[in-house]
Amino acid sequence: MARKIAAGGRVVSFPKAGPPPARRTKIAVTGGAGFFGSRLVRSLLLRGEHEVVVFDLVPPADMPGDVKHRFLDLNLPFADGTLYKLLLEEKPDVIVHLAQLRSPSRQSTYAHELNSIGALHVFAAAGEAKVARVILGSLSLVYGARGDNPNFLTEEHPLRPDPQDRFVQDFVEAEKHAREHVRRHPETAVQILRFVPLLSPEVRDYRAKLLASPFAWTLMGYDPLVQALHPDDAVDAILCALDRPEVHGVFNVAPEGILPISSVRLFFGSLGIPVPHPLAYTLYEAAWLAGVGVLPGVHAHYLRYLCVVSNDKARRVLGFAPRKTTLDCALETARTRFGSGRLVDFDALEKAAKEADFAYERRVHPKRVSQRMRQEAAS
Amino acid sequence: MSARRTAPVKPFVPVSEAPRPSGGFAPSLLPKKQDDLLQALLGEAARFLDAHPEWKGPRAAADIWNLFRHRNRTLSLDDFGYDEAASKPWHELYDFLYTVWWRVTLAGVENIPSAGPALLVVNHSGVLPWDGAMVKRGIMREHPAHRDARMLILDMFTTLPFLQPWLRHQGEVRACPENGERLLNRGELVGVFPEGVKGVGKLFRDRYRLARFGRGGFVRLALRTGAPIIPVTVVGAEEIYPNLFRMDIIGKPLGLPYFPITPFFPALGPLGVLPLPTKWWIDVGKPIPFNHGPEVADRPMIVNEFADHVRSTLQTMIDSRLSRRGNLFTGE
Repeated sequence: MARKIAAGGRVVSFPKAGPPPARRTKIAVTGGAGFFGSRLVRSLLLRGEHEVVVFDLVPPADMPGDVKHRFLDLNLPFADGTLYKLLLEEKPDVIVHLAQLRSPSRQSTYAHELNSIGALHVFAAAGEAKVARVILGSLSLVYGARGDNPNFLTEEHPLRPDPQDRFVQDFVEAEKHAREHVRRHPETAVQILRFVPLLSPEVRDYRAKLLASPFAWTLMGYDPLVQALHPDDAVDAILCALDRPEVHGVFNVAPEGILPISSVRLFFGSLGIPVPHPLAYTLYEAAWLAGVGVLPGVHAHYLRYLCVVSNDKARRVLGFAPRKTTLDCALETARTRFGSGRLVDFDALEKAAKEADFAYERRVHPKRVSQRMRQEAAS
Repeated sequence: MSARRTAPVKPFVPVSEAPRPSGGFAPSLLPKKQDDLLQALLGEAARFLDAHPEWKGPRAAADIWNLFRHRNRTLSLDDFGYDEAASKPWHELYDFLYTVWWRVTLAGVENIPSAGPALLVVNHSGVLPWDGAMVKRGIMREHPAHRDARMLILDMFTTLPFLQPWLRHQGEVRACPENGERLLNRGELVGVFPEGVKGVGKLFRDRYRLARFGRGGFVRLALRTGAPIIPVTVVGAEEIYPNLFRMDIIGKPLGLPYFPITPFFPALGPLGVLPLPTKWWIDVGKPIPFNHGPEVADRPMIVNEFADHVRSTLQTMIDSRLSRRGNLFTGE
């Protein structure tokens, strides 16, 4: 009755205040000193709701709050034992596994030990230490670039990268370890986040290097669509996953919008030299073996065919809402890094990009746009 | 030696270089000496580069080439990479083929709704898929809402070099259920050719006999999205390249699904690629509603029956048009 009166006669229900949390959730971040990991740790500290412990070779620099660092080298043969002891001491509620190389490496043994066996160690230790949740960072490249891919790959699509592509295969193996872990410990929740390759002015992965080089071979007659994710959006996706302990499974983390790789080249001022595609694979492999290339020959599939993923499930289930489109990321990066003294008019491009984003939203998500307009009209 | 210096030899002057009387021709504005001309040009170039330093930047050459490549393109793409501005210049070619070359008669275009999803099911013919281009252009020209039909194209075309980016700019999409569902769910008009490669590579003696309609994927698509199926038939396209027989001995090693032998190809070389100017009819039938619910899509026997129903509708429409057609080229 009192409630009724308080609400002006209308019957409303007040949300009940839940019990105060016994303690703040403790999050362990492997690779928390790296490019991606340090951004996540910074966001977690700024939120102030979590206790954060970083497992890495070095402590993360320039942090806005207290962060505990424990030394961990996942490349050592018995890293799982070390990690197990650390987990018993720290007792984290969640492990976010981000200790990975996100570019192909010529030291393929090292890369395999870290990206694939490292994940195996993390899951083995997490299983023994009974950690309730593990979040594994993966790549959208695991679907593989194939001529018969649908334009937007969903999470149910089989993983078909080139078997020779060790870099991508290591991530596929890491996901396999995650599935094994779920089979052995059905009570634990595992979230696999497949991130689209990142792009921002600070990113220096192999794709950013390829685009930034003044010239590069292109596969003659092929111009695939690509996506680029802003690191802030990638961090947002992990925060969304952390906030929803009840959901588990695989999620694509992708921005809105696509861009042909030739348009990205236009922004970056990179000259694409077209060569017939069988020769292009050979040239990329030769440059890779000679130590000047940034990607092995087999990885050139991603410069030929589509590997674009849909973010529908992450939007629906995790509540993930990317703020930057592919076009925004590419344009911002190109302008910051190579914006001065160029024949390309970036002001005009930015104006065109605004119109393009608007047209995209209206054409691709007519329902979402009409819903938003209705909300605006109501308020 | 010294004798020479004191008494220089008088140089020989050829007749052409001898001073001529002025007048007759306007004096040239160019400097008389070639060296002066070069100096002047270099000076102009240096002045230009000083005024516009971006032309001497390290990425200027790449920029010139990339801007040239983007001269017709825009950033306003949809999620399948459809660039309306880039597809515009090609409309002139399609209009020529539509009005002059094949003199297409489009009947029943009012059966296509002005808004909302619909699935066009079209018979496939002619060794090269010109029929798809004509159906699409015809609807865009003659439909009151100028609807833009998105054609689902076989992988063998969408993975070929040069064709891959070109088809994408035209708004064509690779044929697979995921792509069709995505387009229909947001209310687009989608065109499919259920006969697929069996239809385009049809022999001349099999003309106007519909091949097997895939595995009923288009029916499942309609059932899942609730979009109506609109049967569309193209008559006249079967004869543009009379495909006498397929030569697998050439086609297989080249990785082609078929290598056609027509009376003009490959005998006349590139001239044999020119399609015959037959008279075309495109008939749009009444929409067939498919609102039985998405769960029916998982019942293969019912799906197959629906597919057969659509197929027989198309065959009836083709037969009725064929019986009324007179001359192959004039239609009278």
